[in-house]
Amino acid sequence: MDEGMKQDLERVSALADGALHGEAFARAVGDLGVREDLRREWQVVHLVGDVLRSGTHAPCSDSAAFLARLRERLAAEVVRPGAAQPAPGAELRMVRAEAANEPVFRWKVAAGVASVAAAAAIGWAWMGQGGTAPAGAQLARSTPQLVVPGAAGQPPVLAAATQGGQPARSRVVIGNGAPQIMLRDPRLDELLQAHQQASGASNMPSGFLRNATFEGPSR
Amino acid sequence: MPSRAGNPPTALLAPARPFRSIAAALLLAGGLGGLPVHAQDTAPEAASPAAAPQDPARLGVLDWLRRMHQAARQTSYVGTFVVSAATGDLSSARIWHACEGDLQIERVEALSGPPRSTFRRNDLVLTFLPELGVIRSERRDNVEVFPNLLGASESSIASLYGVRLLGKGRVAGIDADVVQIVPRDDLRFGYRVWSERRSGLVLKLQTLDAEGGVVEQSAFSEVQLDAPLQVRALDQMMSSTSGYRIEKSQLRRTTAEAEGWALKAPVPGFKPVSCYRRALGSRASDGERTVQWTFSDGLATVSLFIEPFDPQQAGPETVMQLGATYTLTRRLLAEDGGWWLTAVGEVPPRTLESFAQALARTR
Repeated sequence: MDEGMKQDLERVSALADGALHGEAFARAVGDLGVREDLRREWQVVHLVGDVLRSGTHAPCSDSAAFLARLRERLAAEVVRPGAAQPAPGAELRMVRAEAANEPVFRWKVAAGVASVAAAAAIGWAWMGQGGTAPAGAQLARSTPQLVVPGAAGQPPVLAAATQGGQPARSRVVIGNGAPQIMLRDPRLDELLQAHQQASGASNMPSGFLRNATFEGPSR
Repeated sequence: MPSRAGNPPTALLAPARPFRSIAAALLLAGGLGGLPVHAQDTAPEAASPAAAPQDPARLGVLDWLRRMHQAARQTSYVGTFVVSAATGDLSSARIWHACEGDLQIERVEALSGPPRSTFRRNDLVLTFLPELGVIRSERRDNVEVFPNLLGASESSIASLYGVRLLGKGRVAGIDADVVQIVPRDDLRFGYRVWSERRSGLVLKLQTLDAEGGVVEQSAFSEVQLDAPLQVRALDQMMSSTSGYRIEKSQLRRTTAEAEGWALKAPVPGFKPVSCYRRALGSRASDGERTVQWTFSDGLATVSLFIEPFDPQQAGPETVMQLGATYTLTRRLLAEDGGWWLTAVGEVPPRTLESFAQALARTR
């Protein structure tokens, strides 16, 4: 790969990171508009980013098809003259910066620890699929996880964590020391203890260790 | 003062055998890191007939479970134990476990969450909560008995679960047999167990749902088997209760029949093991108003907590999950305001639902 090509690809990556501004930004977007190879790179960069962030890629199969559809829709769009148009300048740029920035931050974090992130995605992905744990489970990482039973025979669905009546909130330090808000209900903890007390030997042999280790933050 | 000071493990090492672990450490440092050099390898072979299985592939589910329970009663060890749930929660604890004849003593020092240490001497369990200056004291039912004689019989465990030897594995640097305990219906979880090759001690355990997903797993991240631990030293720590207030749970034994509760239809595989009346929480002063009726299938336990419905206390009707433990709450309607049921168990939510459907008032 010649040096110029390499630089072009790096610029695509930088554009995806939101690192280009002003003249450089305009030129990169311009190049992307006319060069098929750069558009392919653009897609690869996003695919890699998606996989690193979420372990799966966004369900967008073909950007060319998407673009074609977008053009069609734009052409069909009725343009209403006189509608308040944002001045093409300040505000537009701000919106752009915001949209590009948030994923960029994560992308950089992921890129910095790329190999670790990839390994973690492989090692832990299956844990997230835990049977009855609904798809939205990862969003509500509070414990206990609130699940509302569906109609008879239906799998339970996740309810908003705030729906849990008036559970006590407490800060708990987990794993690497990152604080996490957990929903704890002291009354429920008490029942859990009573349950464990009655469990006795009708448990796997390591059940006692499990119970003593995996206890709630309250008493 | 066990939990306040967080005594280092060295305080528990018997002075007569101080160099074994050091020797192992030196061997490791000397370039043998690739070999599984452990303290137990240098220990004299203490092969009891039970510790040497004939052919692991031939063992039935009860043989495996008996072997695991026996190992827990006969092995002394020190290690770090980690529990993680599918939701990403991670807890860990330092474990000391010593055996001497019929006496078993265990110390579990929580490394995550609020500081607490739990001691168990046979069926007596003391939990030191240094931040509150409180020791919770309780007796566990049948903690030494397997299978639980009051609950499922041996034959029923074999009729509810099958077993499959998956192969060999390694946990915390120790060779293990990997065994899957497979439920025969969808009312209970399955388990994948890493059982130490010689003794059968459970080194790692995964709780599996019907799709084979891991609901929760626990494992030793590091463990020293046959550790030179002194029962006496642990016992002394457990007895250092000065400065603490001891709280005992308020409960009395009863029967479901006497309390006016029955199951319209039994939940397959689950048999009643105990029934208590308990005083709990902010209503503790009202006396023992909560009935706890506990069932077991030999491996999994379900507790039904039933109390008079109180709109102030009751939350919404939900199902909650904490690792492998599910909780279901349900209002039971009756003329006099009804009842509030909280079902708790290491079982799939549908099992709790079956209990809730079957529970009926007999008067």
